[in-house]
Amino acid sequence: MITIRDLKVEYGSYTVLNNLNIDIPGSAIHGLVGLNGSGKTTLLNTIYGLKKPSVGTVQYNSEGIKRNRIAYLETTNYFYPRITGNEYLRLFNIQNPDFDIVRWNNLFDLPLNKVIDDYSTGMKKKLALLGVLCLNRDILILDEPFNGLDMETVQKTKVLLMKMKMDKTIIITSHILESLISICDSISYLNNGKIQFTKDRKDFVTIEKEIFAVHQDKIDKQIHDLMGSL
Amino acid sequence: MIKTIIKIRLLQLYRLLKDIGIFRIIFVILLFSFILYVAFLTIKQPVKNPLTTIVSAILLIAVHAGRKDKRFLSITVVNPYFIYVSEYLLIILPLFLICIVSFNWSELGLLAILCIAIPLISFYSDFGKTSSFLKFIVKPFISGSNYTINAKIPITSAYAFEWISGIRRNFLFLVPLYILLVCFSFKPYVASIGMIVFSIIISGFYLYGECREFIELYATGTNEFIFRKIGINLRYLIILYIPVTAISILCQPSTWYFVAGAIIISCFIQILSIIFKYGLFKENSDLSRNSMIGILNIIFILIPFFWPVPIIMGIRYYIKGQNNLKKYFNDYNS
Repeated sequence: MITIRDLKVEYGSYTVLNNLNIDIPGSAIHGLVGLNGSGKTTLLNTIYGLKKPSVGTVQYNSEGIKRNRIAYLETTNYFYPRITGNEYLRLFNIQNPDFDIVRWNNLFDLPLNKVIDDYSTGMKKKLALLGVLCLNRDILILDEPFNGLDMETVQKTKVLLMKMKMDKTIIITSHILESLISICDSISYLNNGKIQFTKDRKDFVTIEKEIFAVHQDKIDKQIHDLMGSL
Repeated sequence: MIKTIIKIRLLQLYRLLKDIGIFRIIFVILLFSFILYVAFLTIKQPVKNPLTTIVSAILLIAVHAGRKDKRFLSITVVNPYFIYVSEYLLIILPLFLICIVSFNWSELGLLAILCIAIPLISFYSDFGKTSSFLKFIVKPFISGSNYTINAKIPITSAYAFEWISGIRRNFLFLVPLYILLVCFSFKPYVASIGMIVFSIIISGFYLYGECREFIELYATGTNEFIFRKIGINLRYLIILYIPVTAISILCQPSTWYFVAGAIIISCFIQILSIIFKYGLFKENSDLSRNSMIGILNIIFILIPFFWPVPIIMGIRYYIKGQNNLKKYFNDYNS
């Protein structure tokens, strides 16, 4: 289990996360949903240890999290120019020589002997995902993993994650609530740097309604102002 | 529209100068003044010297071939030709002033013709390949992707991704050059000069900042990272130099110390290039804009009088590199 207590993260004088508390269960998939700029990526960077919190702790099974226990897929993926998919994955493969690149690639069907510069956006995402899976670490953080993927690959990835969750803690963020509902065991809603609420699978039916309720007044006012001015 | 574009360009120049810091601004001003002084001496000569025109032509062609806003301008502006002309006139303006001061009207005319003619290269015709070829000639170290091919590079180490990428990017240029170097290594001094030239070209391999994963998977600490990077890349350089060195020493045994010196200088160039890469590091970005300081230090390595400069700068940028890489190895939650 990942336990986050009293977390405060700032960029200069701007506070992104403030007094954030959350328990992320192990052997499960936890979804994180929130508006643009709500602090999802900052939270993931802090869990990964890239961003230093001003206050608060992040622990895994009551101990500090070592980065080498986490595999982190960022929203945007960058690749060194003019190297092939195979050459990219080889560096990940050194960490986990048991990972059979060819066998795993049967799932994504990537042209691994081609240079990555010639890949489509979806292919690049698949390659980055393959790299992260190759590391085979205890904690898997996936920031917007379904962006740019086709329906078939989204489905494959979901099935794969469901199978992998038994011995891992998986955190997924998405703007699209539906994509989280189908695979997550619990979902947290991040708003104004705090966890507004966390819902378990049994309460997913009402989650959309509750998220909408948080912003109902603001949305109503904005629409009213817009329509009034037209 | 031309006025707006010129304003934007001046604003970009201002931001660029603001970003590079006072030390480098002074250096740029000194370098620029020196170039203008050489241009002034060339232009005011009574005997016609085509040097300024040739250099200006190469510069403008390189700028025109390399600019990435052609498509944007062709969509947003009715006639981008005049924007190109006005921008190139602005670039050449200091030379125009020198021509006026020196009463060299023929040079002035030639420069004006260049500014008018060069934008036509890819404006009225599809000269995509030609412009890329010119870019390749002018910028062989960091040539564009038009010249890259999907060649299989016989480097097995995953850690040598800079070499794999660099060779692939410069394949059509590097391979013939290397074959020529090996073939002519039996001649005196060819191996020594060739190895230094090759080392300078290879230093262009380190002009791209890799992604976070590649740094974290490479090592577990900053010092280990930099030393490992230097070790791996020097290994490939030495492998590349073995045939050249062997042929040269077998055919010209009396010049062995030149070869040894060239190898030492080449290794030093590689070490400095790697240190400067991480001293100026930004992940996932093209670092060639920051490479001026590296190029200058490579020039200093070639002049023994200036050797203390790259050594001191190397130490300074090593410390900067350590700081830049810290965030990838500082584990805040452990």
